[in-house]
Amino acid sequence: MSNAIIEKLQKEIENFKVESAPESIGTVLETADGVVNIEGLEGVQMTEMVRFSSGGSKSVEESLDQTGSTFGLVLNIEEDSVKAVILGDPQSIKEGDSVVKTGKILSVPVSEEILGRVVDSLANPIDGEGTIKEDKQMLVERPAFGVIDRAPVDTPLQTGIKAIDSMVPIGRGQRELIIGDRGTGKTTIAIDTIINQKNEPKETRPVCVYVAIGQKESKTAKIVEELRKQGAMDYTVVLSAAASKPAAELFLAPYTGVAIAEYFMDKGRDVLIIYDDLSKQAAAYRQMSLLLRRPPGREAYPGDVFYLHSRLLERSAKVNDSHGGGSITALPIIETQEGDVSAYIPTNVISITDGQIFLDSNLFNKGIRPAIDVGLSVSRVGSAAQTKAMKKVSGPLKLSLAQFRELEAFMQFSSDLDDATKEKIESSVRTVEMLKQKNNSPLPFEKQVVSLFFITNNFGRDFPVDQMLVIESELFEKIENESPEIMDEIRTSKKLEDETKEKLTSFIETFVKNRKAE
Amino acid sequence: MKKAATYAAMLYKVSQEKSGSDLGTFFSQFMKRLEEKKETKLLPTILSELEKKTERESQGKGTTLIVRDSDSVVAAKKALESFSEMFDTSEVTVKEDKNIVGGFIAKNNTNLLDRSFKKGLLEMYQRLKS
Repeated sequence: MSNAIIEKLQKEIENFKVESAPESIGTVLETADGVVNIEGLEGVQMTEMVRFSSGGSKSVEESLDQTGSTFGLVLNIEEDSVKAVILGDPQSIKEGDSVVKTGKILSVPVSEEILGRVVDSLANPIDGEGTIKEDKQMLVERPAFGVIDRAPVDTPLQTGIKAIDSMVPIGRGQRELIIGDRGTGKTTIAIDTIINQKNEPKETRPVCVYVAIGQKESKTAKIVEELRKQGAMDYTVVLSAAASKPAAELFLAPYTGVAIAEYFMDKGRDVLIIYDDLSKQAAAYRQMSLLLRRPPGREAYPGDVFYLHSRLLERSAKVNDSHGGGSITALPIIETQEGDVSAYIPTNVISITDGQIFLDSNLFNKGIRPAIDVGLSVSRVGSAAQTKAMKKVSGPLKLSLAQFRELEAFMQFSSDLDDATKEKIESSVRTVEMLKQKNNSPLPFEKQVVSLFFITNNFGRDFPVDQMLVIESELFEKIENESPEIMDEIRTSKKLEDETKEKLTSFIETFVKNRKAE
Repeated sequence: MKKAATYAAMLYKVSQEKSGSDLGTFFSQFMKRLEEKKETKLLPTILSELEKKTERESQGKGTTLIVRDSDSVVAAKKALESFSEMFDTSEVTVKEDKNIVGGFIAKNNTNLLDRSFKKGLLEMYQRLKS
């Protein structure tokens, strides 16, 4: 090993020469609020990286620490000046500093080694576990695949959350928005989805990218710890642009995230990317645009705020075999104020995505968690992204809950209702109870099928409502111990064949009979 | 600030094109215009911006050549001749900086040519590190 290093050093010294070409430079005219006005820089391109160098000369030893270099991103090219946003410490830039063109459009280094790491908006590691070896430079802004290059979305992405996988199923390559007020469980759904991927076989397990935009660092640290505890960090990359970072980093973070995702998609793998949350990215972009003197529009957002999100989300796709057959599934998160889904940014993103999961604070406060409003939630891919087994057991669910919502107001008059209506209400109340799920406890697909089969066939009618989840876990334990082949058949075939259905029915009937006798 | 900078840029341009009494007439008209628009309080800022602009332009006219020591000047100037289109070799200001280790750095307002040993060593370090 040491011989190899010595040989490499010898070769470098023998071939040492400095033949760099002239570079175009500019001068900092003014700097304020993370935006720099630069004179010169002829021939600079939009979104080109520029490097700031201070007037003072550093020795070789002092310069070895490359983190001392501050970079900027060119966003405005005007008649007599160039405006760039600073990607780093704005305190280090002063009037009169030289600015050098790098000639590179913004790109980030990616490799397989990035899995399990926590990085910043420029894909630099920030978890203190050393450098990440580079395999490829991925462009942060890259055009999305065209229509011809795409394949239909037909493979499910299992979130492990019963309410979602049954009624709002997500497919690999889909964009499904998670929208709701603060504290309604949006991040929980996203993290549970990541954790649930460990139940997938390794060959088909998606790589997960979690992009934390404008979050508290303590929250991100907690998420990383939970993922590590659950063994999910092995296939996850966490990208953090914390609330204390400059607006430029918050703006860039989602694009860096999707660039990392594209590296894996280009290799034919499936990727799940979560943007938590895009409302903060929009606010950061608004801040930058106002400082760049771009004209403000509605709610002071710049006119191209739709394009900010559309070009990001269009990069999530399922591609055909000629491009590797991989996919990027996006779960963007948007925070609403007072449940207002008709505000500017929410309506923009709703129109871009292939469906939304709406989280209601009233449901959350009533204890229905996940607080999914089934009436307002939709998946435009629908059952094309469901297995046959799930389709069979979840078919009547959405309609049944819709009917229950209509009847819910009459519950207080239960003594005056006919028997059929009373039964409907009783059954639906148990369904709502069974759809509750603890956080950080995603269910594998086969258990979801068993649970939904139990509830849609009304096997729980004789049990108290508040016992439903206890009954469910007892059922799982019993079936795993006494008839694991039922679960295995569902898991491997992804269907509920008649034979398996009969076995399951018979098992549950025996279970219910014994449970009632206790 | 932007307005003052714009005025300063305009004044600089005029001062390059006009001279003598024409220049005097122009400045009087400019002052009248400022009074009409009630912008005379911008004058100190305009003057400051004009000074900075003049300094930048004068720096840009010539070339700054940074070498390790005086022994390297001749070789550096000879190497710079190949880039005479970008760097004005008739007006060269020489500075010494031991930190560059060897070679030279040439720069003017719009171009930078860094052929210092320091740059080569840092690039070698990056290659070895990766």
